[in-house]
Amino acid sequence: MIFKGISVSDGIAIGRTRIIKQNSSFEKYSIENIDLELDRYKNAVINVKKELFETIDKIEEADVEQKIDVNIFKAHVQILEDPVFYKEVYNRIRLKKKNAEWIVNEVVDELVEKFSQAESELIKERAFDIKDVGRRIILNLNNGTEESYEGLQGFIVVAPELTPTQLLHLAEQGVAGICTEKGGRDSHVAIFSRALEIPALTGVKNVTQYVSEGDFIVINSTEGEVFLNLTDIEIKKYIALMEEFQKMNSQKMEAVKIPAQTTDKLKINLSANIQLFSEFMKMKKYGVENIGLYRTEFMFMDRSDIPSEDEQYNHYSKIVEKLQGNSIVIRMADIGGDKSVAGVTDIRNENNPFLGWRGIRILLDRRDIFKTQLKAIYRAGVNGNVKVMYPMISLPGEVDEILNINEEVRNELLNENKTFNPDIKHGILLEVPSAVLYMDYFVEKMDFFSIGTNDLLQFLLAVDRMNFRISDLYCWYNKALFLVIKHIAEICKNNNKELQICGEMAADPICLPVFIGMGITDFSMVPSATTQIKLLLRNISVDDCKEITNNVLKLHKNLEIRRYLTENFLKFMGREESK
Amino acid sequence: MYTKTVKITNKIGIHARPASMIVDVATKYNGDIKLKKNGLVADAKSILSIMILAAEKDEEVQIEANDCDKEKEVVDKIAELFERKFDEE
Repeated sequence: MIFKGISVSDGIAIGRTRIIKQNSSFEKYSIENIDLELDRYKNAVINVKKELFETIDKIEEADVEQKIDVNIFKAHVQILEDPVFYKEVYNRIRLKKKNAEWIVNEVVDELVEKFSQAESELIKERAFDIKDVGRRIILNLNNGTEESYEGLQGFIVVAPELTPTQLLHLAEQGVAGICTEKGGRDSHVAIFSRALEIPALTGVKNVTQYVSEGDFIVINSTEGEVFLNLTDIEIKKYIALMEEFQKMNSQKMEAVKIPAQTTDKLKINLSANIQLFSEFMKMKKYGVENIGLYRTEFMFMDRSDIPSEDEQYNHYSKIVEKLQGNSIVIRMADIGGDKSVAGVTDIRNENNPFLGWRGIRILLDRRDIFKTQLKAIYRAGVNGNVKVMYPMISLPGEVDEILNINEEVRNELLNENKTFNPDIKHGILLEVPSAVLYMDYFVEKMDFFSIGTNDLLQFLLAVDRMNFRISDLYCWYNKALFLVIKHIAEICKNNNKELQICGEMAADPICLPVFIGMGITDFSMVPSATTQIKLLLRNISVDDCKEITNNVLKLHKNLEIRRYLTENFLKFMGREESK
Repeated sequence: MYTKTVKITNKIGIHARPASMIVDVATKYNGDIKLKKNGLVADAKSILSIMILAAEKDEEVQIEANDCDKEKEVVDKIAELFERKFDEE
């Protein structure tokens, strides 16, 4: 028998089930002494609050902070103390003279009812938080304790729904999988199970009616399927699949710990491309320490005004502090192109937005935006290792103007008596081909360079990467592109300038040896791409890379280059397999 | 009185965690602080009251402070939470 659900956390789980139903049975009776009942309620609230604080402390002390969102439980404390809630409970105990359990249940049900009228599934899910608090209070009034979740290790939990408190207990027990009837991709079940890497499905309709306690079931979350009553042969198939999945995962996780270096110990710096504060957690998960490209234009989008200096300062400071001295390259707002910003640019007004008013061109015309952002970055620079990068540079004059504005900004900050770091480093994002030819000028003025391969390729080949008709032309296994990058690498080396590659190409493992062969050792990419890069690195030497660079530059056609690089990549990864 | 209108941009709207962040800010100030949406009014110091607004992505919410010493400051601080997408994305 197959059930279908929504996959919220990938993986395969095989095991016996444990059915968890929301058990909120309690006695209903009338009361005589109102004060006594109010005291019972207040005592229960004090106890629940204590429990919640213990939960919060436990999460914080265990330093699993980035795994489990402790704020959920902080919100529960607020619900508990919310006047809307307790005043209603007090009033009804006084008026209706019913026991506290009964009243709490009533009030919770009514609140939950209000949520279930919401159109959005997401809002409906929020009712769980209130239910969870209500359950805790009622349990406490009953002198009951949380249902025992002991001995659940290896079991698959099947439930109509699960509250955050239950999920926390289940996580501690090490359950093998989770399957619920309610919930969607953003439910508590989804968030918890993903954070803890437990295979989980939600939205499996009526599953608790068909599955009984102790049944042997299989969850194949990747396919969104739950199986009941499989034959031995089928079970064996899933055991094999599960082992493969676990092996892959452990390899990946192992790669998080291995150093990014070649067999002959050349250290390669892998940093992260990110644009949102929350992605910082992903960096940590993959063991990436530095941010090689922090995109800021997203702070400017979806709003009607330009973020103020203080708002930007707070934003940058927060992430800079989190980095604890590791470096961050902040790219000045790269608006325009495919990113409209209200009040500044509307891309629909341009025939060729990618070749239009964008990046540094907007910033130099709109000094207010430029200066505000620069000031915020200078100020955030006090708290860590901050570098600033300018997008879409195509002419030497632009760099002169940038440096003049920087001087103005530093003077203004001095006059405003604001603390800032005057020594932050400045760099250019190389993405317009002309900028590459002006490198002799730029190396005199700038501290570092970064290659944005996506736009560089688009401009070098005159290929619109958004145009599907010519999408086959947008291919980075391209001799012209490799030659340009080699030219940049040589100039940077001769002038002792830092160079990194931060486009999507940096995350393509088959290209990596070519870059290392050119002497490039800094790459910035989405954090999840670093594991494969590290596995590859530990199987190649600098000599291997130099040979590949030499050979690849003798080829002319994209297909030949791709084939050559793929063959070599497979050869290198073969070394990994034979270990 | 000081008010400001903000748009909800975080993906899953004002659920328990964002509501909790708003309460954290609002309770640090005296006076009457409210969130309004389509004629519904929520007390910014009550998490449940905010959650019942059921404010979702792309909806507009009006933040209003009355009889408060630092009306602008508290409204701006709450508005900033919305702008920061409650640190979710």
